[in-house]
Amino acid sequence: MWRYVRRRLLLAVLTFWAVSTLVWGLLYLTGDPVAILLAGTPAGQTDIETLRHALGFDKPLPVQYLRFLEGAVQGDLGKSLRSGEPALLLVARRIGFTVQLAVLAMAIALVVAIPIGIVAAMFRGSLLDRTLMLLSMLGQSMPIFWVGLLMIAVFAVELRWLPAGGAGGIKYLILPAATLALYPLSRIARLVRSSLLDVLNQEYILAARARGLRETWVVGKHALKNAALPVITIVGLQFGYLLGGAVITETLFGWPGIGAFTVQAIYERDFPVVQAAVLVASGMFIALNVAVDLLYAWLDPRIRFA
Amino acid sequence: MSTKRTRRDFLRMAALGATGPWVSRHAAAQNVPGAGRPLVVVQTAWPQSLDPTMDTNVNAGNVYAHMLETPAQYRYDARDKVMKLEPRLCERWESRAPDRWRFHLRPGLKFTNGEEINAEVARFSMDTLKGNKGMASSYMNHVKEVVPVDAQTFDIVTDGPYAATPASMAFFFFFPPKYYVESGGKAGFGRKPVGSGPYRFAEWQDGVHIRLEANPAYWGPKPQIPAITFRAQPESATRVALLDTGEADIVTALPPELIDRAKRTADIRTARGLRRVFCFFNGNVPPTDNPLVRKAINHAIDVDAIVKNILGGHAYAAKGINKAGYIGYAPDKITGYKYDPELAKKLLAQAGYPNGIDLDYNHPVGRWLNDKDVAAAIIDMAAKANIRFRDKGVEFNTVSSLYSTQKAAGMNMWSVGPLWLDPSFEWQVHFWSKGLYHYTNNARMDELLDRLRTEVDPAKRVPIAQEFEKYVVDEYCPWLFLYDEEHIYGVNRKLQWTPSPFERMDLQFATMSG
Repeated sequence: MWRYVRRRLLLAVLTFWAVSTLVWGLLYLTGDPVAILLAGTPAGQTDIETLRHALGFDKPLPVQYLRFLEGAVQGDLGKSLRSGEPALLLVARRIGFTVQLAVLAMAIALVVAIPIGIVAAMFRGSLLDRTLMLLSMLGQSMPIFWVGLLMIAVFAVELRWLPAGGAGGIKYLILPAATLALYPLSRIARLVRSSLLDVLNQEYILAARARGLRETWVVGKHALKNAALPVITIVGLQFGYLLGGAVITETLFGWPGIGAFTVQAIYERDFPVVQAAVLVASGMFIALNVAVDLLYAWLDPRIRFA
Repeated sequence: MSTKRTRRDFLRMAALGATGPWVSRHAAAQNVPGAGRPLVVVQTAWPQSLDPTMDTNVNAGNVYAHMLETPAQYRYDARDKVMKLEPRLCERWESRAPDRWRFHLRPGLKFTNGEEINAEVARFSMDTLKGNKGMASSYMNHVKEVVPVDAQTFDIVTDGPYAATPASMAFFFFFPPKYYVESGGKAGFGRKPVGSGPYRFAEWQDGVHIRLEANPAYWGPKPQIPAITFRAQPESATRVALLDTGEADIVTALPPELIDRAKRTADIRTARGLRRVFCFFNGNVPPTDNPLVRKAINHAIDVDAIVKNILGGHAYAAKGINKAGYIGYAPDKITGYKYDPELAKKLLAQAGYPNGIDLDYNHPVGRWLNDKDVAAAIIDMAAKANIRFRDKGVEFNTVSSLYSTQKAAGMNMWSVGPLWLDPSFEWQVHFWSKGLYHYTNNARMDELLDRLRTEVDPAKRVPIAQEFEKYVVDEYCPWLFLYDEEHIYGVNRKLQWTPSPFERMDLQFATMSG
């Protein structure tokens, strides 16, 4: 098991290093970062040269890269060009909002999806199963932008139950979380159903039933744990995406998470902040994947001994 | 030609349309701010900093310009419909020498933390602006130093004669020196600024709101609205929903397609903006090095049709380079270019291109209102005059980087916002051979601009500005002249407030009825 853990962790560190190098390189993809930054101001060529020197962009690329790595290792990803504050601090201020949104969205998704998946599998082929699967297909295929607007129209504008957008307490979180939950909810419900159906056809389930166990016991105790593996993978991946910042949902509801924040930093050409935000989001995604891999190994001995 | 709708636009309209009857029913339920709750302004994005040396975006300016003050200010004259330069912290100023302007501060002024406003504050604020190396540092390139004369008087010494010095003082914010340093410099001050203006900083809850309260000790006319809350909401459809539910009193940057929707519960207030959208030509390489080609392109494009059909009438065709309220503005003195595709073909033939021309058209996508559709319409129209554009629409950062390299060929879409409301300052960026986006090397333009920059007598500047514009527009023709954008706000009907052409809003004199 420890060998497996070590290998996963080493791989995660390597992935993070590769991502950080890509993130650093992204800065140069769209052209001269300093000229881009000063676009639309009355700055002349001299101003560009002065700022380039001040920001260290006049150094050779390998030197810049080493400085970036050195800073990154020490948690220093530079300062915002728009505020002078440490880029990582700005990201840290927003990360809490993203975590709140992702956790609540995933909680809603799991609480609703798992019972739906189980019920649909237990009553396979019935009208109930077909209706639930049709609804989950709809949930998976409706554009999130559209769903969000409908949520605002109904629950904020019409019923006045919840605010249309913004942040400042749990009531601001409900609509974006419900909107964001819809896709993973539908996906997880369908997956729970299909994995459960696979497992329910296994011989050990037949044996359990033959022993006269109640169906709820068969499903809940024997089938569900084995059906959980693919579900955990998807939940982990989905949660990783959510933590990376749900740009559309955050933008639509004015939720100040890391996704909308990164988009704003890109618009404002605040490169250190963009780098910090992408690195933090990637870091969380990688960490979550490692966690899922480890969980997977813990649940299924075949993996850790392979 | 018609306004193209994206899939997202379609969904947005459908969702909002579905709720129309409900909204009308609830229209009367709109909140009445003023008495209990603050005025809520919802903008498109959060400020990064409330230090004006660092964040020059309008979303930040709208907040800090209510707290921080400048020696002079531009204020909207609703009768003449122009911005006018007025005294603010300084009661008067005069030119003492071609490169020296003297400013006289009002006596007895203080920041809200008790620090005095004197000539040393002016020197500290200029040193801070230049030393911070933020987005605004190049705005004061012309200033060599600030020299305190006595406690209430300071001289601005410029790097050579510079006529627009008083205009530039409307963008020179004063900081309380002791507090600025103690708060941690730009990073600390930008989170919790202290000024002397009609409002003072109350709270910045990250991602939630920025709150200002009226400054009870303000030296000028006291504001009527007791508190203002600024929020951010990037999605325009949600900004409209916030108006519907009474969560917002002013929402900025409404797209034209949502105007009818917003009108059901709120007022729509507009102003002809000072941001001009245009396309500049590379005047140094063929075929656009030939003025006949540049003029032909102007004749090939029907700007009025673009304004009407693509921008829904929410823009103003502009045939020149000067703007209302700027010195020397006289649109009647220039001829401009009428839409005439046949004349365009003739001019091309005269220039030696009887079969037309092929050239690049660089333009950003998603930067200005319906810019992609405007570009498509221009390409369509030009094709009828045998001008075949290669569509090079890309993301804004890429295109701005290309422009600053002086390597952008063909035609290039861009805009110029109000920098100091003085034409020489805006023109030097494009028409001066030392400007960042100069694609012309023209001795006459340099000579006229130098005169406009250095002549301190306003009366003498008027004919120079007019001669410059006449030459640039009717003879040299460096741009495809397009239009000025309109500022569109959704506003609580009970709020008395008029938007100005300037991108920054001024709520000092706003009042709320009912």
